[in-house]
Amino acid sequence: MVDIEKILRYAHSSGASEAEVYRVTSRVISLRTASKVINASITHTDSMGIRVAVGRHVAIVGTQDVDEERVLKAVSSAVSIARSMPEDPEWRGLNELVRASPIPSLKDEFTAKAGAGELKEVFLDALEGVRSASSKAEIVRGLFTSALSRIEIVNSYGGPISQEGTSAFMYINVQLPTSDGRGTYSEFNYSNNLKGLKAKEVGEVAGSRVKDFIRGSKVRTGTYDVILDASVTASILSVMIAPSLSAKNVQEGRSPLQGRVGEQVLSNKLTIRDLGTDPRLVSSRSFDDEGFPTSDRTLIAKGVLEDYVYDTYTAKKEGRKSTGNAWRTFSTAPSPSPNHLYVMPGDATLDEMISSIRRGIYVVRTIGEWLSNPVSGSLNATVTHGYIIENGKLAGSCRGCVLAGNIYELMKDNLELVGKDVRNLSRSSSPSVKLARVKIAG
Amino acid sequence: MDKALKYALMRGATYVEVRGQEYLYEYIRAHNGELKEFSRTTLAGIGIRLAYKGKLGFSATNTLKEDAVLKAVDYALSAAEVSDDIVKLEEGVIARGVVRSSFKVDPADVPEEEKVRTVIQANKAGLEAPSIKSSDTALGIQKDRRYVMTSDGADAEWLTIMTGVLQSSVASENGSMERVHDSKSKVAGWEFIHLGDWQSFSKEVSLLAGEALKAGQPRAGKAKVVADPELIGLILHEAFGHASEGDLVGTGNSVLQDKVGEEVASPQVSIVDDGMVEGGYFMPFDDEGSEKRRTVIVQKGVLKQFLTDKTWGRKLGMPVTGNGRAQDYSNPPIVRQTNLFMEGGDWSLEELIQEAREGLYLSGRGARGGEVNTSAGTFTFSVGPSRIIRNGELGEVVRGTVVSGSILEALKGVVGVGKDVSVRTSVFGGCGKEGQMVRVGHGGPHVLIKELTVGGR
Repeated sequence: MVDIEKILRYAHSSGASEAEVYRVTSRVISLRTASKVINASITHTDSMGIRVAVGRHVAIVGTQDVDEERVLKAVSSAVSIARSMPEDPEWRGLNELVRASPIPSLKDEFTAKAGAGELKEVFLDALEGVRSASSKAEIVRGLFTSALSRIEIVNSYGGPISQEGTSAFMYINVQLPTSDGRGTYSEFNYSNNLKGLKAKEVGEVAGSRVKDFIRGSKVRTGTYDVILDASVTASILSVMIAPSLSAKNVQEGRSPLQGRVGEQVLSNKLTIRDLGTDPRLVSSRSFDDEGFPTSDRTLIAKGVLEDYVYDTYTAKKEGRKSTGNAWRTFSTAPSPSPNHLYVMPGDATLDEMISSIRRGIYVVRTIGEWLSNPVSGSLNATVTHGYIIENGKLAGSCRGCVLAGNIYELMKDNLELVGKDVRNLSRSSSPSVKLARVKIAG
Repeated sequence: MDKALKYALMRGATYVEVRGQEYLYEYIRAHNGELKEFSRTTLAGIGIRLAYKGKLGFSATNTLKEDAVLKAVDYALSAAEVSDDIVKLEEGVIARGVVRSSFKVDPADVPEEEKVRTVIQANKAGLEAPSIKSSDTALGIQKDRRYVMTSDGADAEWLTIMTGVLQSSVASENGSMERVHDSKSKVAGWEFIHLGDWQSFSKEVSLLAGEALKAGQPRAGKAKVVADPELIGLILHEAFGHASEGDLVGTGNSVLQDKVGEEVASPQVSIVDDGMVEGGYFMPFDDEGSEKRRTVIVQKGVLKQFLTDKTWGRKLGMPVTGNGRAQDYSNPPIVRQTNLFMEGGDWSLEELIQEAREGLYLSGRGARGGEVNTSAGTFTFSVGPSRIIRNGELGEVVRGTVVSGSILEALKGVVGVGKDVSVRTSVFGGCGKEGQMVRVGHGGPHVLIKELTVGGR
């Protein structure tokens, strides 16, 4: 084991005026499955990120080559890279408040101790759920993971501090062979612990929904009222809104929300919070990737933009405090982004949304929304699984159409209803929403 | 590695594959004339996959002490215990020897100052265009040395060096914003960077962003399209490459299942996956210790072969094509594409555009990738700023958008295939599958497709 305080001291003695050592150790167990376990893997990694400043000359070295002698060599190389760098005139120093927020433990003891055998039980639960909903349905592809990780940070101003956490993920693609063709549907879930995945229930949902997607019809190009399922909305907002709330993108001119604090940017039915400490969310943590304590804040209140999210660099540039939103991999510079973008639920039920639509589409699965352009606000997503709505009722399924529009128009002028239901993804959560008059290319 | 292999065999493993990796990545980024990031990543670790009681297990560690490596063997054995799948492995063409990609100057030997200077000069040039508010430039350098040793006789080492430059420009006027980015990479050493004109490159991206800012959106709906070589590579990768991956086929996740010998594309279409092709990524061997050779997937429209590794070659009754690839030492190999491209036909670009009459000329420059659902049979990909085709001629620029289609229909609608094949790769990205990112290459000629669905206004 390499001692991170020793690395810090070595960085100072090598000439760094400031230094930060970030270390992640993790154990990940994963299963790849079909309707049986195909293979399993157990991986241990120990990764270290070292950021040094010599005055305003900064460099970062990340390494998984963690033999002590080689880590110390990496530190010297970081100092020598920093020395040869031009000055960053906007550098105002590392985080000076290295401290954890007092939050409940993010480590579930059962998940922490569980091995590949316990993870297999989760898979079997999912399989049982699928088959109980539809006896002929099969899981044709599944991925189940459970992870235990520990993050430690020390810098020239404080620490070391550390936190441990567990997380679990499951994905299943279910298929139903019938004489009419094959139905397909996928489901997934995230949790801080294996039991929280509710694998059997997830399996039941997939096994039940797959019956609806045997043969999707094509949709004619036109304008439709659309319900975006909670998971689709959460995914779209994490692609389109989250980057634009990053102070880095705002400062560097890549955010359409630049200079709009206090303005109505989304519908007054939408309130969006950034949750850093909620123990139910897999992204929660007691300090961010620079060791600054995390918190929960409102970013958009009833559609009005209140603030962006900051790391130390972007905060110091504006003479304010970080908001505890630094994210990084072990080898890259920290950059601010929402810890967990959480759209507050409304009061509409799914039935109310469906019955309010004369001609529309209920979108439940999409691909490619990440290809949209958050800078122009132009959203595009391809619907792989949707229901057609006719006169307030579901009327068969559809697929292969493209939903397009400007996110700030869709989520402001076109937003009519916000659902009660909330779905949690890894870095975002949202209820379902109903949007009026959306352009669909079929 | 040798010790781990012997220890695993002694513990009762019937097949053992030990992989080692030493990896270096440098990323140098400048924004609006100032250096913002210089990061260097190094990896060193060992991954062990084995068959025990007929079942596969994998483990990895980057603690390279003997006891930790032997412990990893124990973890791999325990991982094999939970598997339900009894597998027999097919042998590929066994990889042996030491190979390296061609380069003149090792980028690891180039002084940091020279790298930083190159990035800043290109970055400043990116600001020299109207309406540009943000110019981002990055230099990427990769040096990936992999080793593989297997109990069936593979013993190989290969080194792939790649360099490239990425430019991302944001143009803004009257509250409207548009971003365009593009990158150029090559399996080569520093000479590729040194000889390139990166100032013109970044300025051109900025000019395109300014042009796109003023452009309208294409009209939503079905359209006839001419795709350029960059984009046809992306389309093939999403629309066809993934669906031909043996693991997806074998588990019932691909609409191409049971289609070998059938016509799946127009007779003008032939698709190849090749580990070593000019312009593409360099992959002489795969991570299972098989040689990666040229694999013809589609010949004159007929599906011939799926991409396989040792597991899926046996299960599908096909030869091992050497497509077992892992992101790095810490992941097990799975079936992946290498350089997937369409072979050339006999149309000129002018002929294709004339034949289209009305439609879109879609450009891969500024595209951000794509995604596919191979079991539902739907794929989508982004396109960069493109042009309208009107009366058989190129018209005005339209903004980038996304296009989607159906795997089983898109390539049947290929009307004409151009002569001009080119393949490219990137040091800034790759292809993601099951949480693993690998470098890939793709390309082809200009191609006219009868109908795709275009998202727009």
